[in-house]
Amino acid sequence: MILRLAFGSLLARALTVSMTVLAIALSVALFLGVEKVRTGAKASFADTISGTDLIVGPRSGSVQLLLYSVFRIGNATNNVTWQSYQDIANRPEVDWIVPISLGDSHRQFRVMGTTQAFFEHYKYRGGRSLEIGDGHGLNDLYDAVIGAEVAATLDYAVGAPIVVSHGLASFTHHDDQPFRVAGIVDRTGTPVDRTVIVSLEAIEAIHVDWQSGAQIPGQSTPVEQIRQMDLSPSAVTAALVGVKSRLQIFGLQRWINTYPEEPLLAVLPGVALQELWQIVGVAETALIGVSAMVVVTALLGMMAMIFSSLNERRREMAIWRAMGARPSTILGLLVLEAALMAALGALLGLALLYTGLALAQPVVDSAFGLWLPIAPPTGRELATLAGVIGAAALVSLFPALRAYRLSLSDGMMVRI
Amino acid sequence: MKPIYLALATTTLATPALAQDTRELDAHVHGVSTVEIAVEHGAIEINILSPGMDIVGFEHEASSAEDKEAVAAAIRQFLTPEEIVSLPEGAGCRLTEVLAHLHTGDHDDEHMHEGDDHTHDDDHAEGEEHDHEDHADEARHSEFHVTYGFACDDEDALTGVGFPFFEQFPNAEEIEVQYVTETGAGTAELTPDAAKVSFE
Repeated sequence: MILRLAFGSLLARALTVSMTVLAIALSVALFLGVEKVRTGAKASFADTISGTDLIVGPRSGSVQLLLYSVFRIGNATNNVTWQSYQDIANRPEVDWIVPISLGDSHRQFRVMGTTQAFFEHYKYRGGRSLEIGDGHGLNDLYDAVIGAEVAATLDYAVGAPIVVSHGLASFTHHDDQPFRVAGIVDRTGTPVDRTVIVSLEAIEAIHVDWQSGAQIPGQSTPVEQIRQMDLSPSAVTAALVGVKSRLQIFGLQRWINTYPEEPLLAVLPGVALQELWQIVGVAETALIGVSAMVVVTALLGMMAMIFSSLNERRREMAIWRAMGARPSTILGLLVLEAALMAALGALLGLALLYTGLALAQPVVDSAFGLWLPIAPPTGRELATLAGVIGAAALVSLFPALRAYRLSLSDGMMVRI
Repeated sequence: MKPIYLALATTTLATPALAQDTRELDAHVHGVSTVEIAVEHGAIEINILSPGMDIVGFEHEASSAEDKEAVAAAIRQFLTPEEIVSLPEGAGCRLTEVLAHLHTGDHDDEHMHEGDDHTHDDDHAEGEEHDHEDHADEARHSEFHVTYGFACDDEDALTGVGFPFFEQFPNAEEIEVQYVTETGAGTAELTPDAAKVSFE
């Protein structure tokens, strides 16, 4: 009975009520949307690298090692000598090891020297492998495989020539030994998209005539001669390692971290990612705070709306009372109306969120490499919605209590 | 070349090689223990590294009878894993391996142990105390190294590990956990009030 009354009452004021419901819906959609983006970003971030058990580099910090070896942000403090690399590769626990050599660039993108095994073992988003959509992998010494973003930004197709620059922002180019785009990796949403991948030998090859970071003037070894040379590297920047059994990870990690011949560092990618996220996570809390404030604002708006409606409804309330409604009924009616509005707002908000997600998902994935999963609301989100409805009922208590006290006297008295 | 030059040459060449001495020390924080947990195919291995300060209250060489007894008591405690770690009931885990020793001195020697028969149910227990010759007197710390191996029937039920450890050793303030499971790796900071790590 009272539910029907509440509905009827809301319907009678359809315009103001629908505005309030819309405000709540938008705030709820925003709050849940931020939550989705946050968890999606966190998952995408954690999915940048998977399947790798240890990242090995020179001893520095775990976050720094992760940043330059996986995200290509910042620089290495040191290199790892080829001898140490071989020592690690020969450990019985090691299943596979992939070297990474950084330090050169092509336009704004980093060049990474590695082996064909990188394509086999680098996994992202829960075990997905890199797919070379166009062309093939690193077959020739001067083959380069580029990420999707490199191809899109510089408008490169398979077969295009690439000249690698020495260092990260320099005017010296390795133009005597141009590369050729051999393949383009499909978009992954990982830093691989922004990387030019060449073979480890190629990194050595382009530095044949270089000494202490500069080209020896006038010296230029012909390409045919370089192809005949022994191009095994003297050092690498970092290495990705997979172990045979997970139970051996920590043992190998300790062995590497206490390797006496060279200060090395081995980190578990998952642990380093989590440490990095803890640093970034402050912004996350701020985002949640802001969107929660939006919800609070919407609820306060609803309270103001109910307060002002009390004035319009003074007569109505008085008639209820005159017809025998108890003050508590009036109170219940107002609280119920508020809860209904909030519930409608929450439902509409959910609808908005899922429509938005469905529309934005492919765009966000291709533009930012951020995968927003469309999944039914989690327990946490449902609890948030219930919280919004509860909070609405709670704030409506203030106008409802006012109506409770004043409903009879106020409405019945004839004001002059 | 006269033999004397040759001898001279040998010494000058040999000296740098002999002088190659690595000096490094691991970080050692009192109150903070390190725990590594690895899970694979129903097998779970837990490594605990605890500063001697947290466990027995001193880190000097156990010379007095009292000190030696304290160390022995601590190792006995570590050899009863249910007082140190707790695994979910539903996982049905049996102890397959337990190893505890006190590690003193600043040089890390390797403790590799393999070939433990995981099919046997009888506990393979080993308690020992390593006392190395003093390499350097300054910055000497001691650390308890403990390893537990369990075989579990239901890996899916293995969702976390609790640490009654804190109740046994009131000096221990924090455990830094690193774990690797089927789904990935992670880290957690445990305190006496939140003494359980959940694998995500």
